[in-house]
Amino acid sequence: MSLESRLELEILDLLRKANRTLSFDEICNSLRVSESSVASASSSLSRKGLIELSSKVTKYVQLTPEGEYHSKHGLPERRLVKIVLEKGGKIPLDEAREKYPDKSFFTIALGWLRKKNWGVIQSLNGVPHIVVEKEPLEGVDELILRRVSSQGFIEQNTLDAEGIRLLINRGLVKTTERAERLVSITEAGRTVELKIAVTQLTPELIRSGEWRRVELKPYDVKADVEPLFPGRLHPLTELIKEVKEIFTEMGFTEVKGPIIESCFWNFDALFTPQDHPAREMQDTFYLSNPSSIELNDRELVEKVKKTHENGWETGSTGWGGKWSEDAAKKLVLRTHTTCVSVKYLAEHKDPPVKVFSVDRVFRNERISFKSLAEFHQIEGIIMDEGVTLRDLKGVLTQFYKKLGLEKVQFWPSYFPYTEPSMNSVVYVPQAGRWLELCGMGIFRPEVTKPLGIEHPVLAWGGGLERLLMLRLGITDIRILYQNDLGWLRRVKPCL
Amino acid sequence: MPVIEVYPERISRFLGIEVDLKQLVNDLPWLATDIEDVGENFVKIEYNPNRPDFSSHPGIARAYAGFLEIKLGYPEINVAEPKIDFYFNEELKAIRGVLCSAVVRNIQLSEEDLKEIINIQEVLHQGIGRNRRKVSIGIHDLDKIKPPVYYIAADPEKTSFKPLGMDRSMTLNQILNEVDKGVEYGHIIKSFDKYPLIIDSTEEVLSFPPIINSELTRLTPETRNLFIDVTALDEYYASRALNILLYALSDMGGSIETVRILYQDGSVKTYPDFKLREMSVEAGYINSLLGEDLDNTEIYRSLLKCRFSVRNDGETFHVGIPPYRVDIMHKVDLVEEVAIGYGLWRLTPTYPKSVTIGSKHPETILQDKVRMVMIGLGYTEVFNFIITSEEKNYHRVRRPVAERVRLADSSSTELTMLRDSLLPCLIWDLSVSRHEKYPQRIFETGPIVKAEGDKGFSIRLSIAGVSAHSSASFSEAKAVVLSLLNSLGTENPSLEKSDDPMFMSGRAASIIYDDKPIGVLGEIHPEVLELNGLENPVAGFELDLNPFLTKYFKS
Repeated sequence: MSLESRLELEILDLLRKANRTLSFDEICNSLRVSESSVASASSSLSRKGLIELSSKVTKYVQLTPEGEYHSKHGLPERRLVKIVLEKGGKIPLDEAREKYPDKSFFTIALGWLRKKNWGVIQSLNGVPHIVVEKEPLEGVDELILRRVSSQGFIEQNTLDAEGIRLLINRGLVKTTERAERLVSITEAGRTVELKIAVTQLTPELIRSGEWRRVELKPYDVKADVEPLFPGRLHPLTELIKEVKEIFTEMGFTEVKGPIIESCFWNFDALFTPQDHPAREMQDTFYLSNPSSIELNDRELVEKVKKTHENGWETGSTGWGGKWSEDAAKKLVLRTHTTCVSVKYLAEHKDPPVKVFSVDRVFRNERISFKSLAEFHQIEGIIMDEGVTLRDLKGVLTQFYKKLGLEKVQFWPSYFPYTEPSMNSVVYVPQAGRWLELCGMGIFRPEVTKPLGIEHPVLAWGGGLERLLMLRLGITDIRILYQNDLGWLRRVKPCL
Repeated sequence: MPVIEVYPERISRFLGIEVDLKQLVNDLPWLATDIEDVGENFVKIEYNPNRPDFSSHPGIARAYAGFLEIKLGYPEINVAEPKIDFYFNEELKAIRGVLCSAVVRNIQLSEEDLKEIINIQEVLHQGIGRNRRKVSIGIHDLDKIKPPVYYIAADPEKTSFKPLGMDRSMTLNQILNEVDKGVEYGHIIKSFDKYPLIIDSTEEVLSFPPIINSELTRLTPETRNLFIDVTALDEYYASRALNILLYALSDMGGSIETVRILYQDGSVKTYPDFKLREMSVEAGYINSLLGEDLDNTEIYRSLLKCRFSVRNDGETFHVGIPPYRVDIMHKVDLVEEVAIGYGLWRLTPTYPKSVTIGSKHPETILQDKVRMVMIGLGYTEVFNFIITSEEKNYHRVRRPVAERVRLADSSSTELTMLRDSLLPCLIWDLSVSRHEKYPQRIFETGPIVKAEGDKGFSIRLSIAGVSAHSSASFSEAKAVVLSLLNSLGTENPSLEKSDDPMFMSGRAASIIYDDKPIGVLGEIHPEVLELNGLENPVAGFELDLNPFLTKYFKS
């Protein structure tokens, strides 16, 4: 049992102290609140069985307009007595009529003077006179009139019944009835602890110390609440962060490069023949504004040209045919991050170099549930004296293990710029199936020699989104870039 | 990548021993192929484009026989002396200047053999033939031809014949315009006044390379002798393509016969050229790359398993490369062959010895920092494509079309240019998420690309955020930007009125840092909201992060 407001508490308190039934009026007056507030607090208290409500009809007396007039000026007969006494107790009737201030009441005044035996009419020397012996005492009717006038309303049964009857008959007062609401305390009300129940603890309650006297309403702990959507990272960022941390833990340095690159760095430096299908417009985004860029390192351009045409000093046959510098100058959106890595290697030739990137790449593919024109590539590179294909297997095994991918298989494969090349499939426990993830190999001499790189370069790379899809359990890759806030708010964390 | 369905019975026929499906599924990946799918009686594999000899069952069986050690070393084929002459007209030198040819006799082609030959031809056309531009092949019924044969340059209007699959004679130009293959491949020769044509001594047309053969020489189940022409721009790839086809036909039971090519200057060449190309590789080189310590016997045997001829001279291995291999360019390619012959699974993992210290790129560190701030402010991260369109980047946000970096191939109207601002992407995202509960607060950080004078373009690292709800305001955007800048150690950036039309006039500001504008913030123009179907006010900002990169990461 608890009280819901301060007013409920005060009403109970008042009733306990008064130790009797109180009317709404009394409560209103004592607590200085409106009747409607008392009504609502009382009905709440009554619902809880702390008080009982009843009502009583009471007759009240109030003045009529005429009664109002006379209470101000005195009853007509009283005013007449005063005139008579001023004249020494006798006054001729006509003179009295003459002197009476309010002619219309003179007859009434004379009638009541005689009726109340305040005076008599006597003929003196043949002239009728009013004779009053002494000033009469205040009559009961006058007393009532005075009291009613001063209080406005008076309960009828507190007044003299005869006086009231007289005044009613004279039309000076009237009675009205009022229904009164009464409040009496119950046993429960007498004993309940005087504390208010509140739903919200407020600074006001804390500051005033009032919290001690209130009761904080308990919650239904199983009730629903409005869902809350915190700001959060995109699942792509979550996985990218994870992969980057793994690389740095393994001692790799992150490298970045422009998303726009010349064909020279994107393809030619990686020994991709100029007529390779991957270089066609159907597979690669070329730019039209700007469409090409000057190749400034003439020496390097010459070496790469010769390597393509006849192998130069690399010991390779080359691809044959004529290598076109114009084709190499064309600008493309990079199709892989390997161009970033080889550029870095060309500028950092001292071993060991261990670098990585997790970044955006572009392919001119039709967008569908399984392919995008933009996605992220994971890439790792190790250039060091005497590193081997077995080392590559070892590094990948560690790398996968840190990603939670314990089961790995390696197979021979083919990539234009690595030899030997391998493919790897990993078992993704979150999805319960195998996924072809990273391709890898050792950079071909046709790639490293023109750049002046003298040690073997281990390289591996793969798509980030495919792994993310399996982790999140989604089958349509497009949702990752749709930015539907409903999905982003509710998607499970990328664990 | 090319695919092929491999059937155990057919592999067994060329292998000479029985293998079942399970064994194929198990073994084929070790030949550098990928299992795509396993059917009831076949396994579908994807093979790499550097091995066009895997385009047929005999080709796969040839490699597989080595892997199983049924046959080791170089598969030699006997070639008969030439009986047919092929005349090369000088005019072709400028048009399609390489010609190879061969004859196959006494072959009985099953329906499956025929299908396979067509597949080999298709794969060679697409792969090393670069969609017939570099190399194309014609296969004819020799018995319909009256040798000698002539490779000539023909007038497109005055020459006509009945192309394969058609019931009437057509001029070369008609073929290019009306026949499917003509429409598809016509671009290869259209720029020339005369087109390549192969005719016999009675002037019957055999082929109109690289477009189509004639109906006359069509192969049928009754065909017993084949005449093959290869026209090309590159002699090396033309002769390899011919060799790959001939090796398969030989395995199918045919006898190979040489054809003599006679040039107008009197010189003569004969094809096929089955001479082994020689390359040598040292044991030390092999072991250093693999990280193994293989002895000479092991290396020798591994190379034989990959069907090479091998001569061992101490440290050095002299390797003869079979004429159907196009992928051996450098001795490093032989290292991989050794690894495959030895068995890649036998290479156990090791770990490099060098100790290195890792680090993230400054851009990553900065981006992660601003991401955390934005999340703290209640914003959810989004990822948009960098490729966009004028519609999204300009029109839908009331910004005028500006100098921009455009894509050359605009076959899709949605992918035409690189975004020069992140805000338009975010407005697009809000329109995608209209049904979702408000307030909506999203942000993105990533590259934008501006077209720029001499250099052509500059790539900037940017961050932008938008907040959409019933009382989104300029003040909110300003407070967000101030707190973001504050977290980057910038106390009092100055703001000046901005007239960016994406925003409401009088409710937008430029953000000034080091006396330079680095961003914009304010209330998005109601017309932009209308254009994107948005019914809540949107406050947003975009900020260039590059000044902070140089500030914090000077090194």
